Amino acid sequence: MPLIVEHLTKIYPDGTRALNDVSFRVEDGEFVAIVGLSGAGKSTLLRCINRLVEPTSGRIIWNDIDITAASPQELRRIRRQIGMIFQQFNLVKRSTVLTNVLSGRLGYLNPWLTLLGYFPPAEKKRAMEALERVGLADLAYKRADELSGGQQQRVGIARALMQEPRLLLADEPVASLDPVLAHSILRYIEELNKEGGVTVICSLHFLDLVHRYATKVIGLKDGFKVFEGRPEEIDDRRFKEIYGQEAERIGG
Amino acid sequence: MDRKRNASAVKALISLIPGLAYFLEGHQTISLIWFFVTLAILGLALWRGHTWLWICLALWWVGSSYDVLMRYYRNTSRLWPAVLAALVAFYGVGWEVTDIDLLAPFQRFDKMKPYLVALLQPDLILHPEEREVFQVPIEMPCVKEPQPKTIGHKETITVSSGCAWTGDTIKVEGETLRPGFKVELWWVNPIGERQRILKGGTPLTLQTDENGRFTAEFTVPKAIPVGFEPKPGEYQVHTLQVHLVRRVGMIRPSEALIEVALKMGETIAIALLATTLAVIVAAPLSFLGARNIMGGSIPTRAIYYLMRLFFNVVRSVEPMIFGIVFVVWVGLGSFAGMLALVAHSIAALGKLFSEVVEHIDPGPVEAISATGANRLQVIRYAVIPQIVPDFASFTLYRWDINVRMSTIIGFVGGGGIGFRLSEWIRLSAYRQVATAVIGIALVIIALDYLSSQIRRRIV
Repeated sequence: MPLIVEHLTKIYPDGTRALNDVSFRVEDGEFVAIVGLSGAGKSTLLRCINRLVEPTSGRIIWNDIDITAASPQELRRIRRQIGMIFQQFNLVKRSTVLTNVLSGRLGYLNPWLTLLGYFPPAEKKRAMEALERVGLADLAYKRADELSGGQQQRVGIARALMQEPRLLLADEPVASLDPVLAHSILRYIEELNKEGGVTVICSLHFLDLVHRYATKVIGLKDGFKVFEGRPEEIDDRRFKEIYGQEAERIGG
Repeated sequence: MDRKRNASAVKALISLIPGLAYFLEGHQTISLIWFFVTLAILGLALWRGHTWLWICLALWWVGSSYDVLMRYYRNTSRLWPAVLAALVAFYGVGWEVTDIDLLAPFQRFDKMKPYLVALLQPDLILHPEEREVFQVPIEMPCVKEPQPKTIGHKETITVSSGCAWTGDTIKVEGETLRPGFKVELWWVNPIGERQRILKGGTPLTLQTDENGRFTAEFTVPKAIPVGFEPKPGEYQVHTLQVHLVRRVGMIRPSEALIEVALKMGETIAIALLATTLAVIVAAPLSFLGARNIMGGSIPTRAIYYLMRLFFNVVRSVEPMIFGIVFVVWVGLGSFAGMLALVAHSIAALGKLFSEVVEHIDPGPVEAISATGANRLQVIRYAVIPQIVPDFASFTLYRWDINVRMSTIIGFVGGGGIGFRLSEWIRLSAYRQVATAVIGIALVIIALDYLSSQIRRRIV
């Protein structure tokens, strides 16, 4: 049940061509890194997959379902199986950590009861287990904005865990964090990938992180796919194709 | 060479038409502003017909051309000469039409003085008193020889003359009255008009000594009723009243103070109810008036524009106008006042609320949408937690405004303290007006403190 992206193009209303005819295929259980400069179209590509951004043309097929053609109701059913974590964590700052984690479950629950703020005890237990997995069970009743950046991103991961995702989209998950915290966050994602069998598509800045975690790399430049292959295939020539002639390799 | 000269000529021509250069550069808004300012100054000059306005218009024109030429040849903007010319025109007309007279507040201060004095003596307390009144008839004018006159048996009042005329001096003595009482003298004319007898401009007040005696001399005041003057050889009977006054019992709040307290409570309640009803309506509407919620499709965007229009139109109607409308509609009283506040508050809060909704962090909305939550769930879990503090503080602020507004609405019959205040103003009961003003000020200060405390708690 692979993810197939076919001729994906996105043109924003202001005329920006964020994606140009991008096609690729992701097999189950892969850890795909999307690399490229800021503005290359990485975020747009990830958001097209769960249609937070509507593609202009092209198709995205997952589990033999055309996501791009799904009705709003079907789309919600698809989205609840796709976890997503963000560069800015995107937690609701004034809500508690527990409520933030529980909100990952909204797609599965009775909408009317959740509007009243009711979550079944079993779901609360599930949320506490998710928090335990990311090592934050004792902070469950703190307000989200009282946590450090690294802790907030772990709450983001716990929120995605609540969805029991089969696909995880990660948009620069470590770019806002202290570099020393990057590995701790990526290890949680790797664990999901290796042990849970969750397919991961993750945009990353640093090539050393790509080499360490990814099984496949897609390089984007100005909305075009300029590379698809294994991390070790990125040599100096390919590196300059992705990042431009001015760029210098650092690290990895 | 020729083409270059042509280009210069075109540039010079463009610079002569205000706003055209900006229009050609694609700045439509600035171009329109330029055009309308030109029209406005022209209109003012035609209307008022002053030479100096025509000079301003000319300066504006020159300034605007100068700006355009600077843009073409120096690549910079020189706006201030044109802006200065426009400001002089507008301020000048403003000064002229408002008839500014800086000396009037000083020269006419004496007109204001009695009101200010009354306002500084608010009617706050009532001192219950015991009052005994003796009446001495006085004939005006004297048709016989003036004779001293005594009334009473055991307690007696003696006047030096039983008849007098305006300006005469009468001596009055009291004997064996009750000791230690305050004595006031009052003059009552035949049609019942009563005035306190003054000495040197202030009320004459005496005290009975331990034997119950007092002595006073006073001048007969002007008291002949207009158009009721006595014919030659006739007289009319006035009355000199001697009041013995003693304060008894405790100080009590005055009637005005009690009234102000009750009506103030009523006002706070009206404002609270109006604010609550307005929030119940405005909170859901504000989502319909928020671009980030309604921007999705064409029909929702149409609702968004309608909502904004509604907020702006209703908001621009003064609550007092709504007050008049609702007094006509549902009749005089607090209900009309409350409806007026509700109508205005819905629009004012709706606009503020929708701006709060528009300025939320879109990140959590994206994150919750990505979990497969539906639109209502996204609002409940991503939007509402972000807007609660701002909604609450705007609501408290609105309550504060509504308390003040409801005093104004009272003037058009909308109940509460304002209604009573307007009555007192009509009756020239300025001491009571002062009481009401103090009451309103105290309540506003208290509300301000309360709402700042609550805001600090919830943010």
